Amino acid sequence: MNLVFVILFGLGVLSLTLSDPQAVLPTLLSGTKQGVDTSLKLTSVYALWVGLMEVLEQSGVQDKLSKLFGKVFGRLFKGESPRTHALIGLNLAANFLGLGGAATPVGIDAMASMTGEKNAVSDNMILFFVLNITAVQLVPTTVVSMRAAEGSMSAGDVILPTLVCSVASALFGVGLCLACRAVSRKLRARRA
Amino acid sequence: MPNLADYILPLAVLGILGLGALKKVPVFDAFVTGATKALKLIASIFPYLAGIFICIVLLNQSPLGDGLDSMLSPVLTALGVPSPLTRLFVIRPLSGAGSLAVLEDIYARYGVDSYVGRCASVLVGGSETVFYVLAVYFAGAKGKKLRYALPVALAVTFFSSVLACWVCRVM
Repeated sequence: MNLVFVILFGLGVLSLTLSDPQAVLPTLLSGTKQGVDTSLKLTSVYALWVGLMEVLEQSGVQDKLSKLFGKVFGRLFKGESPRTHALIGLNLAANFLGLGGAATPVGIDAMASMTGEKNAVSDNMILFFVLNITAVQLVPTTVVSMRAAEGSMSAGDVILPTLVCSVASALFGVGLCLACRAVSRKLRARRA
Repeated sequence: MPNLADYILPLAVLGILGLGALKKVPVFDAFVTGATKALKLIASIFPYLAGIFICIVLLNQSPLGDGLDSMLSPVLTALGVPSPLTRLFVIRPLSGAGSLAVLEDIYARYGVDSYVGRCASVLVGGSETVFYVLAVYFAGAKGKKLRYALPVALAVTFFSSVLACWVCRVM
C-alpha cells in the first residue's frame, strides 16, 4: 500500500503541476475534506449500528451464532475463535441483506479479533477482506433504485445477473486467496 | 409502494431491541457503550480515509485518470467490455460516490435499459469500492503489511467487471 500511495500521490501531483499548478493545494485539501465528510457520515451510521450490535452481544445471541457459523466458516477460517466466526457470519449476512451500515462495524470487529502475524496481516484476514469486496447481495438496492428513478422499464432486471456475477467473483476470489496462501507457505518453508 | 426487502431493516432493528428487552439487557446502557465504541472506531479509520481520498481526488482531477483510461480502453474492448464503460471500470474500485456519478451519466447518455446501461448497473452492483474497504477493514487489524491483499482484490474486481458485461449478454 505504501508503494501504491507514493505512485498515485506522486504521479497525481506531478501531472497536475504540469497542467495546473494552482489547483494542487485545493485538490489535496478537497481530498482530506472528503475524508472528514465521510467520517462524519460514518459516525452517525456506526453510532446506530454499533450501539444496536452491543445490545445484541449482551443478549448472548452471539454464543448461539458462534455454534451455527462455526460449522459454516470453521473450515474456511481455520484457527480463529468462535467469536470471530460469529462476527464473520454476522458481517456476511448483513451484507447479503443489504445492511451495509451494520455490516461494516461488525466486519472491522471481526478483523480486529483475528490472530495476526508478525507485522503482517494473516491469510484469513485477506480471505475475509476479499469476500467483502465481492459484494454478494440479495438485492443491489442502490443501483435498482437509481434505475427506477431514471425511468427504467424493468429496474429489477439486473438483480439476477448481479447476483450471478458477485457469487462467481466470490468463488474466484476464494480460489485466488487459497492459491496465494499455498504459494506464500511454500516460499516461507523454503526460506526457513 | 414498499417492497418486501424494505421490511428487512426495520424488522432487524425491532428484533434486536425485542431480544435485548427479553433477555433483560440494560438496553440503553448497552447502546451507549456501543455508540462510544463507534467513536473510537471512527478515530482509527479517519487517517486512512484522508490518505485514500487524497489519491482518489488526485486521480479524478489530474490528467492521470484520463491517461489510465486511454491505456486501459483497448485492453477492455478486446475483452468484450464496451468502451463507454472504461471510466466506470477505473473509478469503481476507487470511489463509491464517483462511480454512482459516472453510472448516472451513462444512464443519461445511453439509456437505462440499453446493453451499456445494464452492463454498467451489474458492474456497479456486483463489486465494491476496494480501496475504501481496504482502508476501513485493515485500519484495526493486527499487522500493517498487506501482503497479497491488494493485488488479489484488484484481480477479483477486474474479473467481476469483465464478467458483468458477459453475463449481461446472455441474461
